[in-house]
Formats: sequence, C-alpha cells, structure tokens
Amino acid sequence: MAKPSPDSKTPYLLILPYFVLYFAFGLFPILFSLFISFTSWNGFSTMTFVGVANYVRLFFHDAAFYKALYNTALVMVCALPLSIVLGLLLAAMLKDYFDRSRNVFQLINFLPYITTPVAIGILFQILFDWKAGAVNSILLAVGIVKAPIYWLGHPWPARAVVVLLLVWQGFGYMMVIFLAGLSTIPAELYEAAKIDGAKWRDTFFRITVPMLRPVMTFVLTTGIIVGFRLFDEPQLLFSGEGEPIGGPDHAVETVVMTFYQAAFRDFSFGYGAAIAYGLFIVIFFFSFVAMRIVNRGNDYGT
Amino acid sequence: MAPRRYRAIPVYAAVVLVSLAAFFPFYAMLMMSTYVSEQLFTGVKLLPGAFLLQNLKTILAIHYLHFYANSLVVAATHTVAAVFISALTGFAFAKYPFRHKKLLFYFILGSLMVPPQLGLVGFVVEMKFLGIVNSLFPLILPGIANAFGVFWMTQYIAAAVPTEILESAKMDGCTALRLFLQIVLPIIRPALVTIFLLFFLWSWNNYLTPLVIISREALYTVPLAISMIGSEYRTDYAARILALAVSTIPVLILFAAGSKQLIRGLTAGSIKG
Amino acid sequence: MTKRGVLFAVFAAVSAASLFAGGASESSSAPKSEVISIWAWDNSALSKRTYDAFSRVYPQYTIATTIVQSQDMEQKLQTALASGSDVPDVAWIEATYRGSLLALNIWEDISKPPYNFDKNKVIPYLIPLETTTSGVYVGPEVPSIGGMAYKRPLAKQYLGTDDPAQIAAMLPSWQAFIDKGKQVLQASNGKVFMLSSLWDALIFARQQTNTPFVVNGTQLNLDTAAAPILQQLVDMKRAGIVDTYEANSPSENASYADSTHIFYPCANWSVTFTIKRNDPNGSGRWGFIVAPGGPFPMGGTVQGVPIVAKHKMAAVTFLKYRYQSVAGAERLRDDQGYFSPLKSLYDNDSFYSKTDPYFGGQNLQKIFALDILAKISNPRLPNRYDQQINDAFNLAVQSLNTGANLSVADLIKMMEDDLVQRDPELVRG
Repeated sequence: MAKPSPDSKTPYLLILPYFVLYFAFGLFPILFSLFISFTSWNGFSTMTFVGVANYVRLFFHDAAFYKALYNTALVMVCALPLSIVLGLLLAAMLKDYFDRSRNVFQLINFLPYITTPVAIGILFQILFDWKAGAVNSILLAVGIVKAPIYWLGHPWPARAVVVLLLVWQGFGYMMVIFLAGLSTIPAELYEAAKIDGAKWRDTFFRITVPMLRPVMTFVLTTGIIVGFRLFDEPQLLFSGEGEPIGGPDHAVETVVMTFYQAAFRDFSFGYGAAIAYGLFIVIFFFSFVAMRIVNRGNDYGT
Repeated sequence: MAPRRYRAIPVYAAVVLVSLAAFFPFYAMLMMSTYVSEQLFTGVKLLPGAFLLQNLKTILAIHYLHFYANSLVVAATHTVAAVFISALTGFAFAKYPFRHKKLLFYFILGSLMVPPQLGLVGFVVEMKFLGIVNSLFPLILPGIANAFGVFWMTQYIAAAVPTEILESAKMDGCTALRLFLQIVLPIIRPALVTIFLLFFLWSWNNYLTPLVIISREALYTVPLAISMIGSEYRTDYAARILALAVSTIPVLILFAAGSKQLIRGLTAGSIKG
Repeated sequence: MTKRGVLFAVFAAVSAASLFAGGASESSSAPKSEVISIWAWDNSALSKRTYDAFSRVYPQYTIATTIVQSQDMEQKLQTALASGSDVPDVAWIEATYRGSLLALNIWEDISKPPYNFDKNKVIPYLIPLETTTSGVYVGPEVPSIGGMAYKRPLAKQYLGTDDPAQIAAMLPSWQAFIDKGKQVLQASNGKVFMLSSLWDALIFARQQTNTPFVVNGTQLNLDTAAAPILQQLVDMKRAGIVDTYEANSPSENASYADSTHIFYPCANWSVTFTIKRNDPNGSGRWGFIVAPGGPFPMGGTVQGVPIVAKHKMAAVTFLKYRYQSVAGAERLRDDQGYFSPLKSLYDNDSFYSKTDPYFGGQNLQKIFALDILAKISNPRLPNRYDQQINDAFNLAVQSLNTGANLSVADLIKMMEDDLVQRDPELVRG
C-alpha cells in the first residue's frame, strides 16, 4: 500500500476547517469567558478585574449554586438509569419480538425525543396543573388519590414530575442507540445460547447486557454531560407568575438556570461566566468518575 | 412459532403500553391545540375541539411563518455545514496518517466534555465585536465544528470505507477532495443521514442561544416566538401549543423518512467494542 | 439524487436570502419618517391607535413596537446593550423589575436639557418611583392604582347587600374582612371564599404598606417590613377565607366567572385586562369599592429611554405627547382606560368620569381618580433587590398556601434564608 507520506499537507487541509471553526466559535468564546469570569462586568459598562473574587463567592458563599448542583445531580441520578433501563428493555424486546411493526414502535417511542423541550415544559405544566390538570383528573377519576396532588407546588412532587418528564423524553433516544448496539452483536451468540436452552431473560442478562457495555459507557457519559445542561424544560415548567425560580423552594432550579439568571438577568457577566466554569469543573469530575466505574479495566473507545 | 407467540404476549403488552405512555403527551398536545386556552383547564381533552382555525389565526397573526422560516434557515444551513465538516474531518482522521493525529483526536474528544454554556457569555461579546449580532449567524456558527460529529464520522469511515478503494482511486490521480466527495460520501450515506437528523433536531430545538443572543424580533426563531403568543395578561396556551405542535412537523417528517437509516448510521459508529 | 440536489439548492437559496435580508426589511417603509422603537408587551390594536394619533400630530415620527414580555425585558435589554445594537428608544419597565433596572446606569435623564421633560407637571407621588438612586429621572408612567372588585350576586347572597357604599362600610378594616369571611364560609358550608388566591391577599397587604424591605443598601428589614404583611396572610389563611389558587394561574383566572369567590384586587388596568377578559358574560355582575385599608398603587410601568438609544429626542417627544398633553391623556383614557400622570387633569373632576354598565353603572373612572389616585402618597420605593424579595414572597406564600401550619416567624426565616442564599451580600435584619 502506497501510504501518503506523513508529511503530506492533505490531512491537515482536511481538518483545517474544523479547527478554524472550533477555535473561532468554540474555544475562543470559552477562553474569553474564562477571562470575563475574573472580572466584574455587566456587558456594557467598564470592566473591572476582580481576580478570583467570583470563584470565592461561587465556591464558598453561594449556597444557591450548591443547591442547583444538588438539584441537577439528583434529577439526573433518578432519570438517567430509568431511561437507560427502559430504553434497553424496549430495544431488546423490539429486536427479538417485533419485525414488521418495529419501525412504527421505534418512531412512536422516539417522538418524545424530537418534541421541542419548550413544548414539553408547557405541556407538562398543563398536564400536571394542580386544579385542572389531566393527570390529577385521571388519578381522581380512577380513585388512586382522594384530593388532587399539588404536583408543581411541593419540592419533591415537582422533582418527580421533572424526572418523569426526562425519562419520558429520553428513553426513546436510549432505545435507538441500544437498537444500533444490538445489531452489532453476532447472531451466533444467541443461537448458541438457544441451543443450550437459554430463555430470553437468560440471553438478555448473559449476552445482551455484557455485549452492550461500551454502548452503556457511551449513553452514560453523554447522558451526564447533557444532563448537567438541563435548562429548557424546568425553566418553562415553572414559568407561572407566582412561581419562584425553579419551582417550589427552588427544588428544580438547575445550574444552567442559575447561570442564566446571573449572566443574563442580573447583569453580571463576570459571575455568570464563573458559574459556567464551576459547572464545567463538576461535569469533568463526574464524567471521569462515571467512565472509571463503567469501564473498570476495559479499554474501549478509540 | 405459535408457542413462542403465546409466551410473548406479556412482551407485546409491555411494549404497547410503554408506547401508549410515550404517545399520550404528544397526542394531548395535538388535541390541546384545538381548544380555547381556558378550556384546557377544565378536564382531560381526548377528542379534538373546534378552535383549531381560531388558534391558527392567532399564530399567523404574529407572523409565525416568518419565525418558522428563520428556524428552517438556521437549522438547515447549520446542519448541512456541520455534517459536511464532520465527515471531512472524520475522513482525515480515519484514513490518513499524520503527525500529532492522536493528540488532535484526543483534543476533539476532550472538547466533548465542555458544556456549550461555558462560552456563552464570551460568545455574545464576540458576536458584537464581529458585528454579526444582527443576523442569524450567531445561531448557525457555533457547533458547526461538532466534536460529536467528528468522533462519530471517524469511527464510521474507519469501519465502512475500504482503504483499498481509496488507494486505487488515488493511483488514478484522484485528489483528496474528489476522493471524499465521490467515493467516501456515497459509502457513508447512512451515517450522514443519521447525524443530519440529530444535528437538525438539536439546532431546531435550540432555545438558550437564541434566547440570550437574539433581541431583534425579525430574527426570532420558533422557540422565542412562542412567548409572543397571547398577551401580558392572558397566556394563550392553546395557540402556543398549536405553534409548538406545528413546529414538530419538519423533524417529524425527517425522522419518519429516515427512521430506518437512523439505526444503520449509528451502527458502525460509536458502538464498536 | 436530483431530488436531494433540488432540496439543497432551495435550502441554500432561502438561507442566503434571509441571512442578508435582516437589515433590508426595515427600510422598506416610508424613508423620511424617523422610527421610534418601543419594547413593550402590549401591541394591541388599542395601543396602536394611540401611536397612530401621535403620528398624525407628528408626521415625521412613526412608532414600531417589538413585543417583549415584562419578565424578559431585563434579559433582552442586557443582550441588546452588551451587543450594542438594536437598543430600543423606549423600554417598558414593569414594577417588579423596576428596582433592578433603575439601579443600572443606563438611562437618560429626560428631565434635563435638551429633552426637558417637565417633572413639575407629574403627579408628585410618582416622581420618586421614576428616579434612580443617583437622581436620574428615567421617565413617566401611567399611575396604576388599585381597589377591590366583587361579584354582586354573591355579595347580595352572603353579605346581604350589593351596594358598594354599604359593603365598604361593612369592611372598614382587614380584621372586619376576615370576620365577615368566616361568616360567609359558615353560611355557605365552606364553599364560598372571600378571596380566590393567597397571592391576591399578598397584593393588598404588600401594596398598602411602604416600609422598605432592604435598608442601608444590603440589610434585610423583613421583621419590620414583611412581618405585618405575612401576619395578615396567616390570619386569612387560618380563618380559611382564602381559596388555594395560584397567582394568575389559568384556574384562578377561570374563577372570575364562577360563583364561589367574592372579592378580587382590582387595578384600573385589571378592569379591562383581567375582569372583563376572564368573565366576558359578567356585565352587571360586578361591583367596585376602595379596599379595606385604603387606596394603594398596583403595578405601574415606567417608560425608560436608554442613554445609547438612537432616537432619544423623538422618543421624548412621544413621551411628552402621551404623558404630558391633554390630547395624549384623552387617548390613554379613551383607548385603554388608563390615567394620565399629568397633575393638572385632576384639578377638575370632569376629565375622568364614565359610568360602566359592566360594574352596575358605577362611575369607575371617577372613583379611581378621586377616591384612590388622589389619596395615594409615599408608596414603597423601588429597590434593586425587589425581584429577589418578590421571589422570596412567592416562596413563603406558596408554602403557606399548601396548608402548612406556618407561623410568621417561620415564613420570615424562610424568606431570609432564601434571600441570603441567593445573594450572599444581603445581611439578615
């Protein structure tokens, strides 16, 4: 094989557009934000350099930041495993039991993922309305509860609604990823197991789950990264007039909501940028830990 | 196969049940868009109401189609550019040896960890310096260099495009760009479709960036325009929901059309063990 | 393949066209007139009528509104100021956001030359509300003032009369209101409430007091300022006379048309935008009185002109027309039912006089002008922490609303915790 010489310019030219665009509109704003995070600035008046004051405030005095971190992590810790398990089960069932109708079910369960988060926020706000929402109407009609539940008015029910929302929104995406993963598992493995008389449940736990481990790593890490960005849905879910930011007791105020509030509502670009960096540090840490746990000894990836 | 069918009934039931649960809010959205806002809070609406046309008039009155066009322009240009750049970069990483390749690839992977909000404050100011804050460019440009896309494309091209074909074409004097356009792109079509769908979806649904960048009404995208429906004193939920239901149409069409390709495009990518 | 080609070509053409069309679309209107850009949440036909009337008097100006909801105003202004473009010539600043927006050094003092908006013509109590801590007079507003509306049939059934004067006499104080409410509750077997929402109770209690919530810049003053407000809410809650609807929620809005909630806070703007809208078939069903505890300001939206705006002179010309001329006051009154801040109009009692069959023929304009507006003085001043205070109140009221047996001290602690947590520079009282 006549490989191009390592000094050839071609590959560099091919990757050049990516790196130019990334430096211009990805890295530069990030570094610029880092700089801004060391200042006190509202975006238009004179900028004052304040050193690490924003970070001192963030990490040592800002209880709201920690609460937001806790809220975000809590919602994620509940929602992510649920949507992974549900997505995995659904994918495995669709693959083994459905043939002609698989595409239809795939699309239906993917619908929530393609629905605009803005719509989901408003939709759930109406469905879970205390006085007149469909959910309470149904629960009352069936007789599961005697009095309507104040879903969006108490901290824990509000969190539960957000978890439900995220699971509903995300499991279809997980399902699709797992379906893709399943199609790479050699069919012989299943056939061999069947000859040995293994039931579906056995093959699921003995073949499917272990073989999908790299996919798990993928959905878990991307799930964490995306989970920490949570903003649209809770922002719109609790947009009513008498509503505190992030719902009752700020129970579902996420870090990005805190960031948005600081940077773009309270006119503190500097502090907002510091919150974003605080979040970055946390994400980095969590992803690292998650990858360690799931990967334990396996070396997948590139 | 009959005994298997029989035993599979619980599985069918479970899948149908989950699918119904997945579909219900979506269905509720469609139904809600046909009522007067106030009626939405008077019990469950399972059948269509009579106010679809009135709500349609409400959303057309705020020039909803204009904002819709904005969203289409942003999502389409952003997605085409991002898919192209991802594939081009992935091609280089998958099929060319070059110095610092590993380092550069890890750099791209590392940037996956970076939340996009990190640069948002700086980005607003940068757009001001560049003088393009009054255009749709601030919504199109970020994320064209998409680390996710490059990672995916590298994996896919490495697995799906036989090096021999590239070599022989090169022997015939094919340039790298023609190689990419005429040989690589057709082969990786499933992956292109997949990331096209996902990128389009993400761009179409983007809320935070337009929220903080766009202050001129003419440049609003769909998620921003929603808050214009109704007034300060009366939130027109029904019309808003209709607008949002209408806004799912393009992605719905794209995903319905590409639903088979979606899985195929994902297969050779990130998933390999 | 060709189909896809066509698709991409269309995409590309549409994209190119609209990417660059941004600037072009605005210059298409009459080139000579100067466009005053106003950021507002009201672009109804009624407010357009006022703008058109202005343009007829000043043909060199036209007005273009951009819809920005009150809660988005700060963020949109922030982005516009930071990006240095598309800053409006006039921005509406709603009461809740007034404190934080007025704390910013971004507003033109329109009372100074060359603009010379005459402060002396303005109703005196409004001026401090429209002035920043550094003394900049930001801009005028229509006085927004409140009383109490009630449903006549319910009043007749449970209070024995639907006559405004008799009802007002029956409810001289909030304690009397609570006592009456208990009787109503009993008489109706717990079905009829005096108020539909604890947030409505909050409006009365908060707006009828004027002690600052924050003193000396950053010191919380809740024990003095918030305690009486919360006490009133707790008393009402314990008496059971307030239903549990959330503030301006769709279900509360629906309650305007029902027959289980009697009283509502009612600002001059609520008549059109809240009551008539939520009870469209309620003509003759409503009555209005001055609230127990007296007249109070309710809402209010300052018209601010940013320093970096491009058409400041034109903007002030408009503000003078709308807020300092009789012609402007007539438009405000007749198109939107608003009152003018022009002091001289209240010297005679005929300018604001119009009976309203919807309110059983009461002369609402006259009551608002003479019995309420003329009697308001020293309202609570805007403060840069108003939003945080507001948020903390929402938190406390929401907790109280769900029936928890909370005391005033609990609620104050809750508010203080929340405030200090969000803004570490705030100091407990």
